[in-house]
Amino acid sequence: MPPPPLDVKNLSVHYHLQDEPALSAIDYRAEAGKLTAIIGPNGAGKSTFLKAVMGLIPSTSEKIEAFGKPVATQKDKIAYMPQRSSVDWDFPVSALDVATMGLYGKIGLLRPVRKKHKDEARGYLDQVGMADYADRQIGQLSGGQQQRVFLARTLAQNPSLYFMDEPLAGVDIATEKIIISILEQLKKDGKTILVVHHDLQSVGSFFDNALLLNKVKISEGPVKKVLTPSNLSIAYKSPVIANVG
Amino acid sequence: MLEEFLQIDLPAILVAVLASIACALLGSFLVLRKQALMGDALSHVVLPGIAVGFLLSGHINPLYMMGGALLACFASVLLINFIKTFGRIEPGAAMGIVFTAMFALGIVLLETQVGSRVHLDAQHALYGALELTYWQDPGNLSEMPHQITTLGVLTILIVIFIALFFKELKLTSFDPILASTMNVKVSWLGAALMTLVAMAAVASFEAAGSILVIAMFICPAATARMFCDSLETQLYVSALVGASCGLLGYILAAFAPLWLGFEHSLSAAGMIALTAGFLQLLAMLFAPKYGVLSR
Repeated sequence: MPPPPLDVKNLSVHYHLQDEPALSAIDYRAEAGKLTAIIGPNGAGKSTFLKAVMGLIPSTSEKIEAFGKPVATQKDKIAYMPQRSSVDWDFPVSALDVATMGLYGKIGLLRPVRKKHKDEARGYLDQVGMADYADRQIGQLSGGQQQRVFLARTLAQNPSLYFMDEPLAGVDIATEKIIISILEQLKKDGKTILVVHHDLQSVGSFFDNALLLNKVKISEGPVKKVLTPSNLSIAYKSPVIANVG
Repeated sequence: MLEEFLQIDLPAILVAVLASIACALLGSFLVLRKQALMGDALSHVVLPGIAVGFLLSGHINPLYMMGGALLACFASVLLINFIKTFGRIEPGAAMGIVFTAMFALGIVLLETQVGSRVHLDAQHALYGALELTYWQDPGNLSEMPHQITTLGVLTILIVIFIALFFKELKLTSFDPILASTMNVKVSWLGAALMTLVAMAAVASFEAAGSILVIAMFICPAATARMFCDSLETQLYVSALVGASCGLLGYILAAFAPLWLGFEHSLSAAGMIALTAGFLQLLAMLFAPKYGVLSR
């Protein structure tokens, strides 16, 4: 059996000057070729989990491996899509520039971006329905369009394992449909996708699996198994009703 | 008249324009990376290094000055970390302590040690001494003022650095998080950029002094931000605006007062900074797409 796309053992994150750990002792193994939602209340450590796995914030663990090797050595197989709010949208770059950034790893150090790279990036913009906006400065796009440009950039990285931080937060219906259909397509292509998701109502209709967090791991597995009233009341400390599809 | 222009004004204009271009190119990245204050901080921190460079070499030697300045930057980073760890205060406060202390140390060194040995007083170090650039035999390259050589070489270095690492600079400036997930050496690139900023602060030091050099870093880059939707044009426009500030500022300082009948010319560095600020104001008001009046 091939090693799992992601294998995390005893992961803890302790933010400086805070008494309580942001995450403690998380064990998690991602199932290959599945679309998994990371869910939990605000401040549960969902984004923190992805950031710690990617090595973006300090953490302690016994193991963080992707495809059987330490994540740090597997970065070309993993793409991380940050929250939209993490960048300055007034920055002087076009949608095409941003999509092209996904190819930088492939282009390599000291080599310039050529026309063939821009053409390739344009193809990814086309997949997310943004080809007509390729030359727009990114600040002149709507929130949903910005999110799609981010997705195009992530697609350009062409990874086997996707981490996405709140890709569906605050986007319009058209964008949501496009993002979901692309996630479905990626899954068909055998990719493994972990998505931080805030909306419990839609978890059941979009995702196969769920990882329910609130500082600790509360449950993981198929959505129906995870989103039980008892799990949710532990996570949210109050009764929550979710649509488990 | 012409000879005086070639001996005094031309070299000063060259120094002003080159310094402005070098600072503007780096300044664009400082502004876009929201590190404008780093330029300010570094230009202060390098002062004791420059003074020690003078003391060691006994005269104005660009290599000693650069070396001293980079050591001063390095020492500051260590000091900031030390204070952060043991001083029970936040990083901003630690930086505030170190930058002002280093700057003050530089002034004390200049006043007590350097001033007596080389022709450089604290006044010039703070506000620039563009007027002192002198080319005895214009056209004789072996006698070219060292400021022009230093700034010329540095500007070429900066252009090469930006050209070689253009896409990495773009990525790390726009989205450092993504860059670090893609194995781009974000911190190395940032350190290289800051090294060039410190070097530019030193090289421009005689042109602008260590206080006004911040205007050369920030204003042309900020002015260009009002016009540009791509990083490429941002860099070209900021260099152009920088060069205009250098040229215009010098003319306004050296010639305009005489044309108006005053007896003395004005501080060139001050006039360059003032011009840069004025151009920024004009851009904010009248820029075609992002100006206040066209919004």
